[in-house]
Amino acid sequence: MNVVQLQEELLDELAAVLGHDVGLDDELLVEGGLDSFGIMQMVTYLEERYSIRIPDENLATSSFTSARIISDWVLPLGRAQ
Amino acid sequence: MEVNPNNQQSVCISRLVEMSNQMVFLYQGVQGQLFLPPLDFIRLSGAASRNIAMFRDFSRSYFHGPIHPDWPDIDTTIANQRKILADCGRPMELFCVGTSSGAYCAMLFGHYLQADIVYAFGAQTVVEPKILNGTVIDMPPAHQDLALLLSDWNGRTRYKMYYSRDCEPDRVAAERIAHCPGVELIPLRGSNHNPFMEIDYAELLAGLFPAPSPVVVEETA
Repeated sequence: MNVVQLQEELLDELAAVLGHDVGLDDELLVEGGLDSFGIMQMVTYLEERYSIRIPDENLATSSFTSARIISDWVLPLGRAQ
Repeated sequence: MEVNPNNQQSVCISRLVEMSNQMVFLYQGVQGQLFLPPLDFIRLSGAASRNIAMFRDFSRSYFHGPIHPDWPDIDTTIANQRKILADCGRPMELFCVGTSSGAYCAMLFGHYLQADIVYAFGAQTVVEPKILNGTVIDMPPAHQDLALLLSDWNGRTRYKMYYSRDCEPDRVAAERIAHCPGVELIPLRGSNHNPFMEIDYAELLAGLFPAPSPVVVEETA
């Protein structure tokens, strides 16, 4: 998994969850409409797609504020696990 | 559990843990929260290390109305939840958790699903058979008044009712089902509908669920 591929896939999945396209640095929670249910969808998507287990410290709303922020912590998890 | 790709239509999302024999069903209240951001609740309560299924009710009909083509009525909603448990392929301790209107749902479904423990925070115990747009929904009397439903105990479920002791509506709602078998009232300090506002909720949530029993893996010959 490289960062470009990860970010492209993240944007695709976020578009499916939100029902609209978002950019890499777009704010997801307020402006993007990513609610708690959507965040849970992203949690399960990330774990299944990349065969990772998201640690408790990333199970927080602040970990899902933009696609870039998500990719920043998912990428090392994917490499480590 | 499949998830509709359109977030606005999703009713249930589940996160399964291979080595856990405990399942937590989470029912969001009308505000779409668990009196806390759901991820905070999940992390602080230790639900993250257990199987989780989170439910939301777009119709705000307490899951009675048609909320999705696959969730057309209350009976199907109960059956779908049973299927989630069955699909785990092994016995599960089931905990149903909800806040406010979600706490009503936790008690309602906990009763039918024979949950081990229901954790209800600031629960409604009487509901109007109307959704927010005023439409009257088909809801039997025992679903309108949980005192009727829970008087006929399912023989298994314990209901832990957490509420702020100085929040009059919540205290009354809890006390009116105090006589029902399996119900335990747990008044907390404070006066807010959200009891987490005035207590150390991290400490409360950290000890919420019982420790899991070891998962027995059956060996094949």
